[in-house]
Amino acid sequence: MKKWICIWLFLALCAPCALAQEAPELLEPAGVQMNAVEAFIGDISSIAVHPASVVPYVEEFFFEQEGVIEEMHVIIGQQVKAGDPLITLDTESETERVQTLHRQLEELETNTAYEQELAEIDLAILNAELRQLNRKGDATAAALKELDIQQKKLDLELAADLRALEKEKLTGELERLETEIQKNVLYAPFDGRVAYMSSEWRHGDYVGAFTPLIYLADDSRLLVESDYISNTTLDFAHAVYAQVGSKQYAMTATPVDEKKYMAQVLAGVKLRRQFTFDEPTEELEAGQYAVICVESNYRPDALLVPTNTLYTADRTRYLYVMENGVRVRREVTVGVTTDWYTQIIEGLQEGELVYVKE
Amino acid sequence: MLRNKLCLLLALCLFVPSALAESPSIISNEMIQTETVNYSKTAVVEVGEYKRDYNATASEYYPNTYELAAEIDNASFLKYHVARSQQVKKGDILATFTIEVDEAATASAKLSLERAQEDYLSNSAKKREEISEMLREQSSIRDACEREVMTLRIRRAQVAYEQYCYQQECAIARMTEEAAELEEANSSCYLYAPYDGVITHVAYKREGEKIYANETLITMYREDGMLLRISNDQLYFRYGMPVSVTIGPKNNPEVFQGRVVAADNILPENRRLGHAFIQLDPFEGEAPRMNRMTATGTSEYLGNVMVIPRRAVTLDAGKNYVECLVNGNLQKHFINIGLSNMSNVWVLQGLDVGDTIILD
Repeated sequence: MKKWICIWLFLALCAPCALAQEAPELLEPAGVQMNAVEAFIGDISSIAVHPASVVPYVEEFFFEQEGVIEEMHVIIGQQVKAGDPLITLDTESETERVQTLHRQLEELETNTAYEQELAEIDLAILNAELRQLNRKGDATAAALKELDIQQKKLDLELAADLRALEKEKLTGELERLETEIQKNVLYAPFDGRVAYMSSEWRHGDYVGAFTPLIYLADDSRLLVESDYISNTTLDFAHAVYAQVGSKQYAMTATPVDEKKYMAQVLAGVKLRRQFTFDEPTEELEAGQYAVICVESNYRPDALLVPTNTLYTADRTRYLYVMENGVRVRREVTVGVTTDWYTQIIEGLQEGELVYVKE
Repeated sequence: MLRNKLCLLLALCLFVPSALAESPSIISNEMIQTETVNYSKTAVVEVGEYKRDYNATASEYYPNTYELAAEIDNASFLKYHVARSQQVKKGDILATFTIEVDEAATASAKLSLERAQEDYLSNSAKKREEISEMLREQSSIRDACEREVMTLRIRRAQVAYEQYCYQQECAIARMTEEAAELEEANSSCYLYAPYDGVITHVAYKREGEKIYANETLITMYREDGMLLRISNDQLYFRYGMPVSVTIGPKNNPEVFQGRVVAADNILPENRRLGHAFIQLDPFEGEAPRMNRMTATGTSEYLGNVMVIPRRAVTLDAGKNYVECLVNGNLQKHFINIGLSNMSNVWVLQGLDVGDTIILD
């Protein structure tokens, strides 16, 4: 037994020596202990980035009255000029009615002239008959004739009034139809491109009043649009700018219509925010990628240390200042804090070495 | 007893040399540094570009599509003159119908017109005769007053006659117009191509089958104004964005430039189509065969920004940091990231240009 113990002991001692391997060659070793940085004066802020894009001004177009589509003059993606017709509603029935009304009015005018002349002749006849009766001395008949004349005059007035009413009614309908016919064509109010047009609309389709049919994009009026950023965030920001390509542009947020905002929130629509360029920008194009940068908590010329030098205990903040190679705890008062730097208001001087705990 | 001592001595003899050995394969104390870390690659923070491209499969889209219908009632189908995928020119006859002439209505309209004309002629003659009679009667009246009255009556009859003629001529003109419209409707029995284009669909019809007004018989499209359509649910492609389109097989593609002319990013949510449309820029040469098309666009691009490799960034408790080499020491720098993609990260704050960061 003891012999076996000795043999095992011998093997246990010799085995590690036999199995020893080559140590890996170290590659540029870096030191990580007792890391310290100097407190320095600099600007501190917090920048939030919101993905955005350069978009054109877009307007939707619809008819104010219902109707049937006669013709779509444009297609999606087409460039249009101000004044070009976009969509025409069927005006065949209205046009026919207008022609009918014109004819009716013309006939009414002509018939009115004839009626007027006939009435004058009737009155003249009655007056002649009256004179005849007066000459004969038939007072009763003459009195009756005078009544007939008065009755005739009243009838004439009534007939004239009725014709005037008829004319007014026809004229009113004619004016209304002519106005409607003019409104039955949508014209482009500005140069732009058709950004949307439903492929489902066809000749002969019925469209309701105020149904959006076409969206026109004006590439000469550019905005930057991002996800929604609240007014509070923007109001308290130090700076708001857009980065498009390699350049930065000062931006101003477009005011939000509160009612429209609430309507969108209630409808579950994803909110967006638009910004206008403070200065003209001819080199930009719709479709370019952009980011909106909102810089807040800005403090210039602040005493800064990396945030990972600070410790927290009992609601107090402290760090370790390196004094003669020894870490000395020091309580500090902090100001603006970000994940990377923190402003020191009290308790530290510029140039002092601060221990970095990580 | 002696044996035990010998074993112990043997063990000691073996142990001591092992303890004192200095093999080159064992790391000496001088080489051990307990507060160091190894790394193999570094990078210098520079100003560069942040970019992300996207691809999408494209297909042809013809926005000028027309659904052609007979636009008349009471027609019966006779035959088609075209077939699907056939090219047609403006004015080509596409289909022929036979019109079921409403003979009763046409005859009735003609008859009414004839009667109106006959009545007009006969009544006009009567009225003229009446006026002539009144004129003859007037010549025999001696009394001045009665003569005056008769003159007025004659004048009245003449004005009434003129009014009658005017009214009847207006009525006859209207009836003539209506009859002409009936004739015109009865004569329309062809469907014509409104534009040059290609037939995409022909509705099945048997000879003699009734056709209703506005019933679509033929669908065709115009080849001009062709766009490329791509799926765009994620809004990677935006209105106005330049794109490049490769067309053809992978081993021999042709590349064309174009632009997105319609996309959902500028539309309200309830109007979004889920697609974007691309218009190719004018190009020289023959149009290629439109198959195997892929559109590529740079959805995200920023220049003149601090960019570092993504693998240098580590996430720790919700904060991003990189390890910087400063004076031979490793420092942990927390950073503010703007954007990131599979390979690069845009750093907003926390690093300076020229800083050395550790990648591995």
